[in-house]
Amino acid sequence: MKRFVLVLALGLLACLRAPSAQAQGVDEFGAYGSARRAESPQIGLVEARFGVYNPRVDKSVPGAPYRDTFGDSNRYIVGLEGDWQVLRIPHLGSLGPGLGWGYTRASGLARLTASPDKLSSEETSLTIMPIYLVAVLRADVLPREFGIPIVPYAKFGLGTALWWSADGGETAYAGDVKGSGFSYGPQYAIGGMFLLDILDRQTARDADVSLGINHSYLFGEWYGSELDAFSSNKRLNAGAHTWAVGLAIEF
Amino acid sequence: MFNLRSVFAFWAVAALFLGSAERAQAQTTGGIQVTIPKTGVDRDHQDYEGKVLVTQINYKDCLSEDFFTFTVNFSTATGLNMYGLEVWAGTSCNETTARPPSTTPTCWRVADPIVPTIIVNNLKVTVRDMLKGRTGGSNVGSGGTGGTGGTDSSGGTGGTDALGGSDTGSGGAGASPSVPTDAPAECTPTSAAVAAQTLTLFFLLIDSNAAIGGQATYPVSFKLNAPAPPTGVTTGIGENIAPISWTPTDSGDLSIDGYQLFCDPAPGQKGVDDSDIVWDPGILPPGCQPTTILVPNARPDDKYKCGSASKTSTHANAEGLINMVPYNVAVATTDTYRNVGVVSTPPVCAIPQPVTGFFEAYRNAGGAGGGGFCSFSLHRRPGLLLSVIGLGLCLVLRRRRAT
Repeated sequence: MKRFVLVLALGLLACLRAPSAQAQGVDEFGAYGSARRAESPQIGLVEARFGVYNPRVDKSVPGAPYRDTFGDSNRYIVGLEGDWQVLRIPHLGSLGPGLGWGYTRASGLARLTASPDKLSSEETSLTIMPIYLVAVLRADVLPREFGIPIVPYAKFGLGTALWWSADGGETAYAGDVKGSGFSYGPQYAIGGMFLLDILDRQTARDADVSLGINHSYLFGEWYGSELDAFSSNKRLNAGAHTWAVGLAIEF
Repeated sequence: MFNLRSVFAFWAVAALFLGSAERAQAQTTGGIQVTIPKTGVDRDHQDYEGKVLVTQINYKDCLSEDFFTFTVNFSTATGLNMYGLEVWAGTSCNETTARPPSTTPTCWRVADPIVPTIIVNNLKVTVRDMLKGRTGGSNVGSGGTGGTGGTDSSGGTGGTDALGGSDTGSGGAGASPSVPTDAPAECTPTSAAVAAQTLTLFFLLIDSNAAIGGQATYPVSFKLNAPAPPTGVTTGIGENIAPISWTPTDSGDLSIDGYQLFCDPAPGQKGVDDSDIVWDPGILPPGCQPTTILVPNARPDDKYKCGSASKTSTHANAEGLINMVPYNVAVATTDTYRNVGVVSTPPVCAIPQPVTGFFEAYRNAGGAGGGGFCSFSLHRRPGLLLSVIGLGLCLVLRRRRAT
């Protein structure tokens, strides 16, 4: 019985020491050990994004043509973003340009002109493709120097959106005016990324060695795109104040 | 691992394969090699030429009396004058018993005999001649007693009488009800089989004793039946269009390739002008007049076509319509041979009306956006945008100079 207790105690001790030994030797942030692991060079980040996107069309005109046509339900957007981390600021993070793209579409049934309270069977739609160029600051000092797996970030720049409307599958017209165009304006965002590497450090190291992926993150951000041609009403406001979530990898 | 014998065997098989592939249509029975070059086959006015294989025949090809032209090459001119070149369709036509005056022929002649030269150009074979014998009709057997087509080879085994196995040679008996009653006998399906059928043409050098001096074969395929129309056709209201929905028919026909919409009156202003419809653009008509075009078993003329859809679609828009005009609309199924089936009946009644889509509503509300992707009006705000972009470029250039 004494032997069993002794073995159990030694085993428990070994288990408790394992994380500590691993932390000293292999943690990529190096906050508590002298043997910091060498990472592959880090040059950029890509994001795969998803979120709600309800364009602020009705903010730029009297009435509510967007809501009246497509209703109040949420519309969604998918997108991609690529950042070039061209500048590293010591004890803060990275700064560089980012280029993003998204795609969203709303559709509904057109109303009878003679009886606007009645719907026809003809589909009418609005498709928006936002594109933006922003400066991105990612403060990765927290995981790098304090072991906290959170990276706050901010973005600011200019955005544009190509948009087009279709009726019955064909490009829409209002008189002679073609139902397509582009909008532009400022774009900004704040958000935070959760470092996934801490969930499986070995896989994270393998990804860096074999693929050059330095880190991977889950992120959430709130952003605004004021695509109203700087508050003029000459453009359809295809921007939105909304949120996005997604997956990001640094390489 | 391997020995010399296996190497020789491999090359022997490979050589055999390559040789047979190169001369797939050439045979040397009788001593003279007969070849039909792949580039030596043409069609006069094939329906959907270029979009289907040159070897494929559909119902419209038969109706329009399309024909093939062949180039036939012979390996030598020596002794050719002993033979006549004959073209037959059917099964085992190189056997004497398969051709008249045999009492049980399985072949029929599809072109008049000619005296061959070393290259025969523009040998004409009509589609109707190819198809006439499969019904057991006049060119087979002893003149119309028929029934010589053998078993129904709907599986496409290369036989000749693909549809008329049990047909009695009446040229129309057993025809699908989906074919107009005035269709020529040669173009009439002789069973309800929906799959494509194969037919083999035999190019034979035959001497005065009916001996074969050389031969080549050329396979064609035909499909005269079109898939059944969809069911549950419904319509709605659109501006200058009619949204049409349907339920696909579960007919088991794997050749379904899409759908076509037909409208009566025909689309466009001319279609309305040619009809006897009296209409007023300001008055919504109460309904549609009876149609004589979109009736059961009808395959309307192309001028009535007003839309199409892919095979996976269950809805499409009838297009080119005039608002406030009452249209009868029906749907037909098409197949991979570009056959267009009979229309769904009864037709639905669609009356296009003006509708207000999103963009029109936006403009009506005072919105100024639109005009195309390249639209750009020079007013104060774009100036601000250009200033910001210019400032950004200056900063970039300045930084590059500094480095």
